[in-house]
Amino acid sequence: MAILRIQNLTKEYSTGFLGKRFRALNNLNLEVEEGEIFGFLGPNGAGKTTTIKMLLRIIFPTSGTAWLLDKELGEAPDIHKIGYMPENPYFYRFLTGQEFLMFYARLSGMSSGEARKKVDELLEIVGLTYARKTRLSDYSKGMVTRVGLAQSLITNPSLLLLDEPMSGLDPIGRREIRDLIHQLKEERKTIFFCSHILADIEMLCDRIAILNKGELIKLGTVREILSSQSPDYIISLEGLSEAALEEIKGMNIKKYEVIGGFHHFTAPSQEDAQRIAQRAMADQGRIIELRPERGTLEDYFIREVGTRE
Amino acid sequence: MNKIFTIALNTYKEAVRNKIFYIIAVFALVLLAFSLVLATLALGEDDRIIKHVGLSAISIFGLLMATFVGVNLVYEELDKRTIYTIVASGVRRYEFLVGKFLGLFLTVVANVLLMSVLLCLLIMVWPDSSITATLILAVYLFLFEMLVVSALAILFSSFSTPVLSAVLTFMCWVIGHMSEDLLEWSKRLYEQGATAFSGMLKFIYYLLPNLEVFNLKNQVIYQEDIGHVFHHLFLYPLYAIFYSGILLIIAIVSFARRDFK
Repeated sequence: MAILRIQNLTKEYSTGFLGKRFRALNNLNLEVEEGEIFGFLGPNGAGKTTTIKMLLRIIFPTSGTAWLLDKELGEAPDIHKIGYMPENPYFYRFLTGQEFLMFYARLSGMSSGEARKKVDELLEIVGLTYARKTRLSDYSKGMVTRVGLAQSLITNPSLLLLDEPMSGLDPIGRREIRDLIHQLKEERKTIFFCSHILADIEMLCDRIAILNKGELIKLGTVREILSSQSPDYIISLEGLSEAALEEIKGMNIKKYEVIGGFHHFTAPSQEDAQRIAQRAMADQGRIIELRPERGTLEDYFIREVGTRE
Repeated sequence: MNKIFTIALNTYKEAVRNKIFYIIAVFALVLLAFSLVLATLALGEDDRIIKHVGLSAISIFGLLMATFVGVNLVYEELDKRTIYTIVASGVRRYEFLVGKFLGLFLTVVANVLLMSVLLCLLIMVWPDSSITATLILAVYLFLFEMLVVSALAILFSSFSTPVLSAVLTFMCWVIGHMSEDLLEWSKRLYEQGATAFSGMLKFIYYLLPNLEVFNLKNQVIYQEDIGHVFHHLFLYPLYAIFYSGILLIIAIVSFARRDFK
């Protein structure tokens, strides 16, 4: 069942003195299924945050609509089932971590006792119990991100909208948040998260959408997206004569390097790799390794977004 | 209502943890203490001096508090994007604005009451001075003046920058205290045939609040008759509540469809 449906969502802003129209998001269509981790990917200014802000009625769409948990934008949403963590969260710096979470717990309608219990539990989960009496103005960026994530979990929501949840975290912090997101998935929560840290997206997401300049350019699982491109072939050789080496270098190859005494060639196709292997064997050379190498999401992203610049 | 009170209490907490609260409070205390020095110098006029300086300090610092804290409240929420998570938490925009307004008013009331208690203590320890019912009534009415000023600050800060909001709030306060004069000028201009200008002054008179009705300073200092007690106790406070309500409704309408960038 689709827990989030976005239909032809478009946002235009007026810019400059003359009010020139700028389209930040153009006819976005997508669906997010219950229980999946959905990655929303794109460079800065692609329209990711704009989309989330429209879903939460922080800004209003120019046209199009969306349904969150079967409620259309404009209808009173069941807000307790939605958790949101903004990018670069600027929270009330004068509050302590505990007061900050208590504030949101009280806003969600919890009694004082319920709120205190929930806040203690969340501080424990995000590892900030030790800093609960410290003001947010004295928190590091990573601590602010963690308290922001705790804030988004206050109402035990079934849909989480996370905008750049890993930004500002060190590798250990990122690992902890990744584990937490996995744990939330096990609890059947749906997670829609924006990021430009591609390694995290690749590790976490069931499906991804790639956005660039307000346009959706790709939608699917990471495997589907990566398998849609033909892989390169890596062939490592040793014991080649100078003549054979020069001949292979003249063939259709993408890259040549010598590592640890072995000759590594990157061929653009299986046929090219076979031709290199045949030439090496004819020269009594030894094939150490021959394998296809699929690109990472980062390779794909840079190529797709880069070519559209 | 729970959400509105949660936001109001948070706003109050924010204001009292802000340095500006303490700076204003310290200045007010210094001025109150200064009234004692002046009272010693002005032979026979000491009671008037203490009350004059004291009430002036309360009104100036109350006004400064309502204006400078008020004009930053909504603007900072937008500028620092703290409003995103508030809206996403299911708080309606009107609840946010009303909460901010109540929080601001609560802060101003705390500040004014603190200064008033100190003024009363000064009067009590000063040999030739005494606390009168008019003095209490003056503080009571001043709180309603601050209700209107807080609503003005919130209204302006819901659509403009802090500096412009502060200027507009202050201008409204000045003109609001010249309301009766505006009506008088309007009448004179009408008699002189300048009907368009007279009409404009009359429009401003009806548009802006008449803040002079909340001012009993002269009656306290010179022990003048205050007229109808009913007006001071009920009618003028009702006027302040009604006027502030209208200002808040305008702010809510302008805030309702605004994109928070």
